[in-house]
Amino acid sequence: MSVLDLSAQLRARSVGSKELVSACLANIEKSNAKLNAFITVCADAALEAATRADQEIGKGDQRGPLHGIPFAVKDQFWTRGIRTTNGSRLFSDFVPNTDATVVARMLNAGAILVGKLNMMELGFGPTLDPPYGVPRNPWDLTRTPGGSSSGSASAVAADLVPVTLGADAGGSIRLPAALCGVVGMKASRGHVSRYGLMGFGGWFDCAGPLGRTASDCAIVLGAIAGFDANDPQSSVAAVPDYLAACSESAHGMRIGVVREFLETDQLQQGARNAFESALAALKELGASIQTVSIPNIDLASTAQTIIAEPEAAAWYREQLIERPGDIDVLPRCRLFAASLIPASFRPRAVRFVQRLQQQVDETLESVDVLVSPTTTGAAPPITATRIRSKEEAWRTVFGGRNLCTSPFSLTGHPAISIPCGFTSEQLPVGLQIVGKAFREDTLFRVAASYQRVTEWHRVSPQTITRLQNA
Amino acid sequence: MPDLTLDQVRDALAALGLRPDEDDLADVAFRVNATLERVRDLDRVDLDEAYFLSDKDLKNE
Repeated sequence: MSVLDLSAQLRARSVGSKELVSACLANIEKSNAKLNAFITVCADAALEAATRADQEIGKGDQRGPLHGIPFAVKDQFWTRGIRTTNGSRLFSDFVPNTDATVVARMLNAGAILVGKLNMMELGFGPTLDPPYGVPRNPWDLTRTPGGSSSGSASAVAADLVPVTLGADAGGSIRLPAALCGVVGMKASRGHVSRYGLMGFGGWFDCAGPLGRTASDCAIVLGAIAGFDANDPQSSVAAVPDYLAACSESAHGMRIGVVREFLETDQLQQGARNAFESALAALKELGASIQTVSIPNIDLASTAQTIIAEPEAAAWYREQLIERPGDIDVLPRCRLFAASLIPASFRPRAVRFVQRLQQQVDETLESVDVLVSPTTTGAAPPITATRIRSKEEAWRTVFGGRNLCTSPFSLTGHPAISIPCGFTSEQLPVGLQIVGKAFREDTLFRVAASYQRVTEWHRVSPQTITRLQNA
Repeated sequence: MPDLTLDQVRDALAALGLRPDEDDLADVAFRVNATLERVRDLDRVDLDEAYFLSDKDLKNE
Protein backbone atom coordinates (compact mmCIF):
# COMPACT_ATOMS: atom_id res chain seq x y z
CA MET A 1 0.00 0.00 0.00
CA SER A 2 1.33 3.47 -0.87
CA VAL A 3 2.22 6.18 1.63
CA LEU A 4 -0.70 8.25 0.32
CA ASP A 5 -3.16 5.42 0.92
CA LEU A 6 -1.74 4.71 4.37
CA SER A 7 -1.83 8.39 5.23
CA ALA A 8 -5.50 8.65 4.21
CA GLN A 9 -6.29 5.64 6.38
CA LEU A 10 -4.43 7.17 9.31
CA ARG A 11 -6.36 10.40 8.89
CA ALA A 12 -9.65 8.51 8.72
CA ARG A 13 -8.49 6.51 11.75
CA SER A 14 -9.32 3.26 9.97
CA VAL A 15 -5.79 2.20 10.88
CA GLY A 16 -3.40 3.45 13.54
CA SER A 17 0.29 4.23 13.28
CA LYS A 18 0.97 1.72 16.04
CA GLU A 19 -0.81 -0.89 13.96
CA LEU A 20 1.33 -0.05 10.92
CA VAL A 21 4.55 -0.09 12.90
CA SER A 22 3.59 -3.39 14.56
CA ALA A 23 2.94 -4.92 11.13
CA CYS A 24 6.34 -3.74 9.90
CA LEU A 25 8.06 -5.12 12.99
CA ALA A 26 6.28 -8.46 12.54
CA ASN A 27 7.38 -8.67 8.89
CA ILE A 28 10.95 -7.74 9.83
CA GLU A 29 10.94 -10.40 12.54
CA LYS A 30 9.70 -12.96 10.04
CA SER A 31 11.96 -12.14 7.09
CA ASN A 32 15.09 -10.38 8.22
CA ALA A 33 17.05 -13.47 9.20
CA LYS A 34 17.10 -14.47 5.54
CA LEU A 35 17.19 -11.06 3.86
CA ASN A 36 19.61 -9.31 6.25
CA ALA A 37 17.98 -6.03 5.28
CA PHE A 38 18.17 -4.53 8.78
CA ILE A 39 21.21 -4.09 11.00
CA THR A 40 19.29 -2.49 13.88
CA VAL A 41 15.57 -2.56 14.64
CA CYS A 42 14.26 0.15 16.99
CA ALA A 43 11.07 -1.65 18.04
CA ASP A 44 10.38 -0.01 21.39
CA ALA A 45 11.19 3.54 20.29
CA ALA A 46 9.15 3.08 17.12
CA LEU A 47 6.11 1.83 19.02
CA GLU A 48 6.35 4.73 21.47
CA ALA A 49 6.62 7.25 18.63
CA ALA A 50 3.69 5.61 16.84
CA THR A 51 1.56 5.87 19.96
CA ARG A 52 2.33 9.60 20.15
CA ALA A 53 1.53 9.98 16.43
CA ASP A 54 -1.83 8.26 16.93
CA GLN A 55 -2.65 10.67 19.75
CA GLU A 56 -1.72 13.70 17.64
CA ILE A 57 -3.61 12.51 14.58
CA GLY A 58 -6.55 11.65 16.81
CA LYS A 59 -6.67 15.30 17.88
CA GLY A 60 -6.84 16.34 14.22
CA ASP A 61 -3.23 17.40 14.24
CA GLN A 62 -1.86 15.40 11.29
CA ARG A 63 1.35 17.14 10.21
CA GLY A 64 1.31 15.85 6.65
CA PRO A 65 1.35 12.66 4.59
CA LEU A 66 4.33 11.17 6.46
CA HIS A 67 2.87 11.57 9.94
CA GLY A 68 2.64 8.11 11.49
CA ILE A 69 4.26 6.38 8.49
CA PRO A 70 7.05 3.88 9.29
CA PHE A 71 10.41 4.34 7.56
CA ALA A 72 13.98 3.09 7.83
CA VAL A 73 17.36 4.50 6.83
CA LYS A 74 20.62 3.17 5.48
CA ASP A 75 23.02 2.67 8.38
CA GLN A 76 25.17 5.40 6.87
CA PHE A 77 23.03 8.20 8.33
CA TRP A 78 23.57 9.43 11.87
CA THR A 79 20.71 8.66 14.20
CA ARG A 80 20.79 10.22 17.65
CA GLY A 81 21.24 7.59 20.34
CA ILE A 82 21.09 4.73 17.81
CA ARG A 83 24.21 2.89 16.67
CA THR A 84 25.33 3.88 13.17
CA THR A 85 27.78 1.36 11.72
CA ASN A 86 28.30 2.52 8.12
CA GLY A 87 28.13 -1.22 7.44
CA SER A 88 31.55 -1.69 9.02
CA ARG A 89 33.18 -3.14 12.13
CA LEU A 90 35.07 0.16 12.30
CA PHE A 91 31.91 1.82 13.59
CA SER A 92 30.32 -1.07 15.48
CA ASP A 93 30.19 1.05 18.66
CA PHE A 94 29.49 4.45 17.13
CA VAL A 95 26.40 6.11 18.56
CA PRO A 96 25.88 9.64 17.17
CA ASN A 97 24.60 12.36 19.46
CA THR A 98 22.63 14.03 16.70
CA ASP A 99 20.52 13.06 13.69
CA ALA A 100 21.52 13.49 10.08
CA THR A 101 19.53 16.37 8.61
CA VAL A 102 17.46 14.05 6.43
CA VAL A 103 16.59 11.86 9.42
CA ALA A 104 15.66 14.91 11.49
CA ARG A 105 13.44 16.19 8.68
CA MET A 106 11.65 12.84 8.36
CA LEU A 107 11.08 12.77 12.11
CA ASN A 108 9.84 16.37 12.06
CA ALA A 109 7.39 15.35 9.36
CA GLY A 110 6.06 12.78 11.83
CA ALA A 111 7.49 9.64 10.21
CA ILE A 112 8.37 6.75 12.53
CA LEU A 113 11.92 5.36 12.40
CA VAL A 114 11.78 1.56 12.71
CA GLY A 115 15.42 0.77 12.06
CA LYS A 116 18.77 1.01 10.31
CA LEU A 117 19.41 -0.79 7.06
CA ASN A 118 22.22 -3.03 5.88
CA MET A 119 24.61 -1.81 3.22
CA MET A 120 27.87 -2.56 1.49
CA GLU A 121 30.69 -1.81 3.92
CA LEU A 122 31.50 1.93 4.02
CA GLY A 123 29.34 2.28 0.91
CA PHE A 124 32.36 1.01 -0.94
CA GLY A 125 31.41 -1.88 -3.15
CA PRO A 126 31.17 -5.64 -2.75
CA THR A 127 32.08 -7.14 0.60
CA LEU A 128 33.44 -10.68 0.96
CA ASP A 129 32.25 -11.19 4.52
CA PRO A 130 29.63 -8.50 5.33
CA PRO A 131 29.91 -7.72 9.05
CA TYR A 132 26.15 -7.56 9.53
CA GLY A 133 25.10 -10.48 7.35
CA VAL A 134 24.95 -11.01 3.59
CA PRO A 135 22.20 -8.76 2.16
CA ARG A 136 19.95 -10.84 -0.12
CA ASN A 137 17.55 -9.99 -2.90
CA PRO A 138 13.90 -10.76 -2.02
CA TRP A 139 13.28 -11.89 -5.60
CA ASP A 140 15.94 -14.58 -5.34
CA LEU A 141 17.84 -15.13 -2.13
CA THR A 142 20.89 -16.39 -4.00
CA ARG A 143 21.28 -13.00 -5.68
CA THR A 144 22.51 -9.63 -4.51
CA PRO A 145 20.07 -6.79 -3.92
CA GLY A 146 22.78 -4.49 -5.28
CA GLY A 147 24.26 -1.67 -3.34
CA SER A 148 25.50 0.08 -1.61
CA SER A 149 22.00 0.90 -0.28
CA SER A 150 21.22 -2.83 -0.24
CA GLY A 151 18.76 -2.99 2.66
CA SER A 152 17.11 0.29 1.63
CA ALA A 153 15.90 -1.40 -1.55
CA SER A 154 15.28 -4.94 -0.30
CA ALA A 155 13.26 -3.74 2.70
CA VAL A 156 10.85 -1.88 0.42
CA ALA A 157 10.67 -4.74 -2.08
CA ALA A 158 9.88 -7.19 0.71
CA ASP A 159 7.22 -4.90 2.21
CA LEU A 160 9.12 -4.62 5.47
CA VAL A 161 8.65 -0.85 5.41
CA PRO A 162 6.93 1.49 2.91
CA VAL A 163 9.77 3.97 2.37
CA THR A 164 13.47 4.22 3.14
CA LEU A 165 16.40 6.56 2.73
CA GLY A 166 19.55 5.60 0.87
CA ALA A 167 22.67 7.34 -0.37
CA ASP A 168 24.10 7.41 -3.88
CA ALA A 169 27.56 8.47 -5.06
CA GLY A 170 27.64 6.51 -8.32
CA GLY A 171 24.39 4.59 -8.40
CA SER A 172 24.02 3.32 -4.84
CA ILE A 173 20.31 4.19 -4.66
CA ARG A 174 19.34 3.60 -8.28
CA LEU A 175 21.15 0.27 -8.76
CA PRO A 176 19.60 -1.59 -5.82
CA ALA A 177 16.24 0.02 -6.59
CA ALA A 178 16.40 -1.45 -10.10
CA LEU A 179 17.62 -4.86 -8.96
CA CYS A 180 14.92 -5.09 -6.30
CA GLY A 181 12.06 -3.73 -8.41
CA VAL A 182 11.39 -0.51 -6.48
CA VAL A 183 11.72 3.24 -7.11
CA GLY A 184 14.85 5.10 -6.03
CA MET A 185 15.88 8.70 -6.59
CA LYS A 186 19.12 10.65 -6.45
CA ALA A 187 18.24 14.33 -6.40
CA SER A 188 20.27 17.18 -7.87
CA ARG A 189 23.62 17.80 -6.23
CA GLY A 190 23.10 20.08 -3.26
CA HIS A 191 19.32 19.63 -3.09
CA VAL A 192 19.40 17.16 -0.18
CA SER A 193 21.66 17.73 2.79
CA ARG A 194 24.65 15.43 3.37
CA TYR A 195 25.01 16.50 7.00
CA GLY A 196 25.30 13.34 9.06
CA LEU A 197 25.82 11.12 6.01
CA MET A 198 28.95 9.01 6.46
CA GLY A 199 29.98 9.20 2.82
CA PHE A 200 33.37 10.07 1.45
CA GLY A 201 32.95 13.80 1.98
CA GLY A 202 33.39 14.32 -1.74
CA TRP A 203 31.30 15.85 -4.50
CA PHE A 204 29.19 12.89 -5.29
CA ASP A 205 27.44 11.76 -2.09
CA CYS A 206 23.71 12.29 -2.32
CA ALA A 207 20.89 11.16 -0.04
CA GLY A 208 17.53 10.16 -1.47
CA PRO A 209 14.31 8.19 -1.08
CA LEU A 210 13.32 4.66 -2.08
CA GLY A 211 9.72 3.47 -2.21
CA ARG A 212 7.29 1.43 -4.21
CA THR A 213 5.94 4.37 -6.23
CA ALA A 214 7.15 7.65 -7.66
CA SER A 215 4.51 9.39 -5.52
CA ASP A 216 5.92 7.90 -2.34
CA CYS A 217 9.39 9.10 -3.27
CA ALA A 218 7.98 12.53 -4.17
CA ILE A 219 6.47 12.83 -0.70
CA VAL A 220 9.73 11.86 0.98
CA LEU A 221 11.86 14.11 -1.23
CA GLY A 222 9.53 17.00 -0.45
CA ALA A 223 10.22 16.41 3.24
CA ILE A 224 14.02 16.03 3.11
CA ALA A 225 15.09 18.43 0.33
CA GLY A 226 16.03 22.07 0.79
CA PHE A 227 18.81 24.26 2.12
CA ASP A 228 20.80 23.18 5.15
CA ALA A 229 23.47 25.46 6.55
CA ASN A 230 25.29 22.41 7.95
CA ASP A 231 26.18 21.20 4.44
CA PRO A 232 28.56 23.51 2.54
CA GLN A 233 27.33 22.06 -0.75
CA SER A 234 23.68 22.73 0.07
CA SER A 235 21.63 24.68 -2.47
CA VAL A 236 19.02 27.34 -1.81
CA ALA A 237 16.93 26.03 -4.72
CA ALA A 238 13.20 25.95 -3.98
CA VAL A 239 11.42 22.71 -3.09
CA PRO A 240 8.28 22.61 -5.23
CA ASP A 241 5.27 20.37 -4.67
CA TYR A 242 6.64 17.14 -6.09
CA LEU A 243 3.45 15.24 -5.34
CA ALA A 244 1.49 17.66 -7.53
CA ALA A 245 3.94 16.91 -10.37
CA CYS A 246 3.03 13.22 -10.04
CA SER A 247 -0.52 13.94 -11.15
CA GLU A 248 0.61 15.63 -14.36
CA SER A 249 0.69 13.80 -17.67
CA ALA A 250 3.77 12.88 -19.66
CA HIS A 251 1.83 13.82 -22.80
CA GLY A 252 3.92 16.11 -24.99
CA MET A 253 7.14 15.56 -23.11
CA ARG A 254 10.32 15.17 -25.14
CA ILE A 255 12.30 12.12 -24.12
CA GLY A 256 15.89 11.50 -25.21
CA VAL A 257 17.31 7.99 -25.42
CA VAL A 258 21.05 8.03 -24.78
CA ARG A 259 22.42 6.10 -27.73
CA GLU A 260 25.76 5.18 -26.15
CA PHE A 261 24.10 3.19 -23.37
CA LEU A 262 22.26 1.02 -25.90
CA GLU A 263 25.30 0.44 -28.06
CA THR A 264 27.36 -1.15 -25.32
CA ASP A 265 27.83 -4.90 -25.54
CA GLN A 266 27.46 -5.00 -21.76
CA LEU A 267 23.70 -4.43 -22.04
CA GLN A 268 21.97 -7.78 -21.57
CA GLN A 269 18.95 -8.80 -23.60
CA GLY A 270 16.49 -8.88 -20.71
CA ALA A 271 17.30 -5.30 -19.70
CA ARG A 272 17.21 -4.18 -23.34
CA ASN A 273 13.79 -5.77 -23.95
CA ALA A 274 12.30 -4.19 -20.82
CA PHE A 275 13.73 -0.81 -21.78
CA GLU A 276 12.27 -0.98 -25.28
CA SER A 277 8.86 -1.90 -23.87
CA ALA A 278 9.10 1.07 -21.50
CA LEU A 279 9.82 3.37 -24.43
CA ALA A 280 6.75 2.04 -26.21
CA ALA A 281 4.64 2.74 -23.12
CA LEU A 282 5.97 6.29 -22.86
CA LYS A 283 5.21 6.86 -26.53
CA GLU A 284 1.71 5.53 -25.93
CA LEU A 285 1.37 8.16 -23.20
CA GLY A 286 1.97 10.86 -25.79
CA ALA A 287 5.65 11.54 -25.18
CA SER A 288 7.93 12.00 -28.16
CA ILE A 289 11.02 9.80 -28.26
CA GLN A 290 14.27 10.77 -29.93
CA THR A 291 17.78 9.41 -29.85
CA VAL A 292 20.51 11.65 -28.46
CA SER A 293 24.25 11.19 -28.28
CA ILE A 294 26.61 12.01 -25.44
CA PRO A 295 30.04 10.93 -26.71
CA ASN A 296 32.45 9.34 -24.23
CA ILE A 297 29.81 9.04 -21.52
CA ASP A 298 31.12 5.51 -21.05
CA LEU A 299 34.28 6.99 -19.52
CA ALA A 300 32.40 8.48 -16.58
CA SER A 301 33.27 5.66 -14.22
CA THR A 302 36.95 6.10 -15.07
CA ALA A 303 36.80 9.78 -14.17
CA GLN A 304 34.85 8.98 -11.04
CA THR A 305 37.44 6.42 -9.98
CA ILE A 306 40.25 8.95 -10.39
CA ILE A 307 38.42 11.60 -8.37
CA ALA A 308 36.38 9.73 -5.78
CA GLU A 309 38.48 6.69 -4.87
CA PRO A 310 41.49 8.63 -3.55
CA GLU A 311 39.08 10.81 -1.56
CA ALA A 312 37.69 7.68 0.06
CA ALA A 313 41.21 6.40 0.74
CA ALA A 314 42.09 9.72 2.35
CA TRP A 315 38.90 9.63 4.41
CA TYR A 316 39.74 6.20 5.85
CA ARG A 317 43.54 6.53 5.88
CA GLU A 318 43.81 6.45 9.68
CA GLN A 319 41.71 3.28 9.89
CA LEU A 320 43.68 1.69 7.03
CA ILE A 321 46.88 2.25 9.00
CA GLU A 322 45.63 1.38 12.46
CA ARG A 323 42.75 -1.10 11.98
CA PRO A 324 43.04 -2.69 8.52
CA GLY A 325 41.80 -6.01 9.94
CA ASP A 326 38.50 -4.38 10.87
CA ILE A 327 37.72 -3.65 7.21
CA ASP A 328 36.55 -6.51 5.00
CA VAL A 329 39.15 -7.68 2.51
CA LEU A 330 37.46 -6.31 -0.63
CA PRO A 331 36.86 -2.71 0.51
CA ARG A 332 40.25 -2.83 2.25
CA CYS A 333 42.07 -3.80 -0.96
CA ARG A 334 40.06 -1.22 -2.89
CA LEU A 335 41.09 1.46 -0.40
CA PHE A 336 44.74 0.37 -0.53
CA ALA A 337 44.66 0.56 -4.32
CA ALA A 338 42.85 3.89 -4.24
CA SER A 339 45.68 5.26 -2.09
CA LEU A 340 48.01 4.83 -5.05
CA ILE A 341 45.99 6.66 -7.71
CA PRO A 342 48.21 9.64 -8.58
CA ALA A 343 46.87 13.14 -7.95
CA SER A 344 48.32 14.13 -11.33
CA PHE A 345 45.43 12.30 -13.04
CA ARG A 346 42.85 14.39 -11.25
CA PRO A 347 42.88 17.62 -13.28
CA ARG A 348 42.12 15.76 -16.50
CA ALA A 349 39.35 13.81 -14.81
CA VAL A 350 37.87 17.03 -13.44
CA ARG A 351 37.98 18.55 -16.91
CA PHE A 352 36.19 15.48 -18.23
CA VAL A 353 33.46 15.94 -15.63
CA GLN A 354 33.02 19.59 -16.57
CA ARG A 355 32.82 18.64 -20.22
CA LEU A 356 30.29 15.91 -19.49
CA GLN A 357 28.20 18.29 -17.42
CA GLN A 358 28.16 20.73 -20.32
CA GLN A 359 27.18 17.96 -22.76
CA VAL A 360 24.32 16.76 -20.58
CA ASP A 361 23.07 20.32 -20.04
CA GLU A 362 23.16 20.97 -23.79
CA THR A 363 21.37 17.70 -24.54
CA LEU A 364 18.68 18.62 -22.03
CA GLU A 365 18.00 21.80 -24.01
CA SER A 366 16.48 19.73 -26.82
CA VAL A 367 14.66 17.18 -24.64
CA ASP A 368 12.93 17.34 -21.26
CA VAL A 369 14.44 14.16 -19.84
CA LEU A 370 16.95 11.48 -20.77
CA VAL A 371 16.19 7.79 -20.33
CA SER A 372 18.28 4.63 -20.21
CA PRO A 373 18.25 1.22 -18.58
CA THR A 374 19.35 1.69 -14.96
CA THR A 375 21.56 -1.39 -15.04
CA THR A 376 22.97 -3.51 -17.82
CA GLY A 377 21.21 -6.59 -16.44
CA ALA A 378 19.29 -8.07 -13.53
CA ALA A 379 20.69 -8.95 -10.11
CA PRO A 380 23.73 -11.23 -10.39
CA PRO A 381 24.38 -14.15 -8.02
CA ILE A 382 26.15 -13.38 -4.74
CA THR A 383 29.70 -14.34 -5.66
CA ALA A 384 32.11 -11.86 -4.12
CA THR A 385 35.70 -13.13 -4.33
CA ARG A 386 39.21 -11.74 -4.12
CA ILE A 387 40.50 -10.17 -7.33
CA ARG A 388 42.64 -12.69 -9.20
CA SER A 389 43.65 -10.86 -12.36
CA LYS A 390 44.01 -7.41 -13.81
CA GLU A 391 41.12 -8.13 -16.18
CA GLU A 392 38.88 -9.06 -13.25
CA ALA A 393 39.94 -5.90 -11.45
CA TRP A 394 39.11 -3.96 -14.58
CA ARG A 395 35.61 -5.41 -14.65
CA THR A 396 35.16 -4.86 -10.92
CA VAL A 397 36.43 -1.30 -10.82
CA PHE A 398 35.25 0.00 -14.17
CA GLY A 399 32.73 -2.67 -15.08
CA GLY A 400 29.23 -2.22 -16.34
CA ARG A 401 27.30 -2.00 -13.10
CA ASN A 402 27.61 1.80 -12.87
CA LEU A 403 27.72 2.44 -16.61
CA CYS A 404 24.39 4.27 -16.82
CA THR A 405 24.27 5.73 -13.31
CA SER A 406 27.72 7.14 -12.53
CA PRO A 407 27.65 9.81 -15.30
CA PHE A 408 24.83 11.64 -13.53
CA SER A 409 26.49 11.34 -10.15
CA LEU A 410 29.42 13.12 -11.74
CA THR A 411 27.33 15.83 -13.37
CA GLY A 412 24.94 16.31 -10.44
CA HIS A 413 21.76 15.94 -12.49
CA PRO A 414 18.74 14.36 -10.76
CA ALA A 415 17.96 10.76 -11.71
CA ILE A 416 15.30 8.26 -10.74
CA SER A 417 15.01 4.52 -11.33
CA ILE A 418 11.58 2.93 -11.66
CA PRO A 419 10.69 -0.73 -12.22
CA CYS A 420 10.10 -1.42 -15.92
CA GLY A 421 9.82 -5.17 -16.27
CA PHE A 422 11.39 -8.53 -15.65
CA THR A 423 14.00 -10.67 -17.31
CA SER A 424 13.30 -14.23 -18.41
CA GLU A 425 14.57 -15.29 -14.96
CA GLN A 426 11.72 -13.28 -13.37
CA LEU A 427 14.13 -10.71 -11.97
CA PRO A 428 13.24 -7.00 -12.03
CA VAL A 429 15.10 -4.34 -14.01
CA GLY A 430 14.77 -0.57 -13.98
CA LEU A 431 14.27 2.44 -16.20
CA GLN A 432 16.43 5.45 -15.37
CA ILE A 433 15.05 8.95 -16.03
CA VAL A 434 17.40 11.94 -15.82
CA GLY A 435 16.42 15.61 -15.80
CA LYS A 436 17.73 19.13 -15.65
CA ALA A 437 19.28 20.26 -12.39
CA PHE A 438 16.63 20.98 -9.76
CA ARG A 439 13.84 19.82 -12.06
CA GLU A 440 13.01 16.68 -10.08
CA ASP A 441 9.39 17.53 -10.81
CA THR A 442 9.82 16.51 -14.46
CA LEU A 443 11.19 13.12 -13.37
CA PHE A 444 8.23 12.55 -11.07
CA ARG A 445 5.88 13.60 -13.85
CA VAL A 446 7.26 10.99 -16.25
CA ALA A 447 7.73 8.29 -13.62
CA ALA A 448 4.25 8.62 -12.13
CA SER A 449 2.62 8.75 -15.58
CA TYR A 450 4.43 5.54 -16.48
CA GLN A 451 3.40 3.86 -13.24
CA ARG A 452 -0.24 4.77 -13.85
CA VAL A 453 -0.27 2.61 -16.99
CA THR A 454 2.02 -0.22 -15.83
CA GLU A 455 1.84 -2.77 -13.05
CA TRP A 456 5.53 -3.57 -12.44
CA HIS A 457 5.59 -1.71 -9.13
CA ARG A 458 2.59 -3.68 -7.85
CA VAL A 459 4.27 -7.07 -8.19
CA SER A 460 5.75 -8.45 -4.97
CA PRO A 461 8.54 -10.99 -4.75
CA GLN A 462 7.32 -14.58 -4.60
CA THR A 463 10.20 -15.17 -2.27
CA ILE A 464 8.40 -13.36 0.51
CA THR A 465 5.51 -15.74 0.35
CA ARG A 466 7.95 -18.61 0.55
CA LEU A 467 9.80 -16.93 3.41
CA GLN A 468 6.64 -16.36 5.37
CA ASN A 469 5.52 -19.91 4.83
CA ALA A 470 8.91 -21.36 5.71
CA MET B 1 53.48 2.00 -19.05
CA PRO B 2 54.55 -1.38 -17.63
CA ASP B 3 52.60 -2.89 -14.75
CA LEU B 4 53.84 -2.17 -11.26
CA THR B 5 55.40 -5.20 -9.58
CA LEU B 6 54.31 -6.49 -6.20
CA ASP B 7 57.46 -5.04 -4.66
CA GLN B 8 56.78 -1.63 -6.17
CA VAL B 9 53.20 -1.66 -4.91
CA ARG B 10 54.36 -2.77 -1.44
CA ASP B 11 57.01 -0.03 -1.35
CA ALA B 12 54.63 2.68 -2.55
CA LEU B 13 52.07 1.74 0.10
CA ALA B 14 54.76 1.55 2.77
CA ALA B 15 55.79 5.09 1.89
CA LEU B 16 52.23 6.10 2.83
CA GLY B 17 52.39 4.13 6.07
CA LEU B 18 50.15 1.37 4.69
CA ARG B 19 51.14 -2.26 5.15
CA PRO B 20 48.88 -4.79 3.41
CA ASP B 21 49.55 -8.44 4.12
CA GLU B 22 50.83 -10.70 1.35
CA ASP B 23 47.35 -12.03 0.56
CA ASP B 24 46.08 -8.50 -0.02
CA LEU B 25 49.08 -7.38 -2.01
CA ALA B 26 48.34 -9.29 -5.22
CA ASP B 27 44.71 -8.13 -5.15
CA VAL B 28 45.83 -4.52 -4.65
CA ALA B 29 48.40 -4.77 -7.46
CA PHE B 30 45.79 -6.05 -9.92
CA ARG B 31 43.51 -3.14 -9.03
CA VAL B 32 46.26 -0.52 -9.26
CA ASN B 33 47.51 -1.77 -12.61
CA ALA B 34 44.00 -2.00 -14.02
CA THR B 35 43.34 1.57 -12.92
CA LEU B 36 46.59 2.93 -14.35
CA GLU B 37 45.82 1.23 -17.66
CA ARG B 38 42.26 2.45 -17.86
CA VAL B 39 42.94 6.10 -17.05
CA ARG B 40 44.72 6.39 -20.38
CA ASP B 41 41.30 6.16 -22.05
CA LEU B 42 40.65 9.71 -20.95
CA ASP B 43 43.44 10.77 -23.30
CA ARG B 44 41.18 9.99 -26.25
CA VAL B 45 38.83 12.79 -25.25
CA ASP B 46 39.53 16.28 -26.54
CA LEU B 47 39.13 18.25 -23.36
CA ASP B 48 40.40 21.55 -24.74
CA GLU B 49 36.83 22.48 -25.58
CA ALA B 50 35.65 21.88 -22.04
CA TYR B 51 33.59 24.68 -20.60
CA PHE B 52 35.80 25.83 -17.79
CA LEU B 53 38.45 28.39 -17.03
CA SER B 54 41.31 26.91 -19.03
CA ASP B 55 44.99 27.78 -19.01
CA LYS B 56 44.30 29.71 -22.24
CA ASP B 57 41.61 31.80 -20.52
CA LEU B 58 43.96 32.58 -17.68
CA LYS B 59 46.65 33.78 -20.09
CA ASN B 60 44.14 36.02 -21.86
CA GLU B 61 43.12 37.77 -18.67
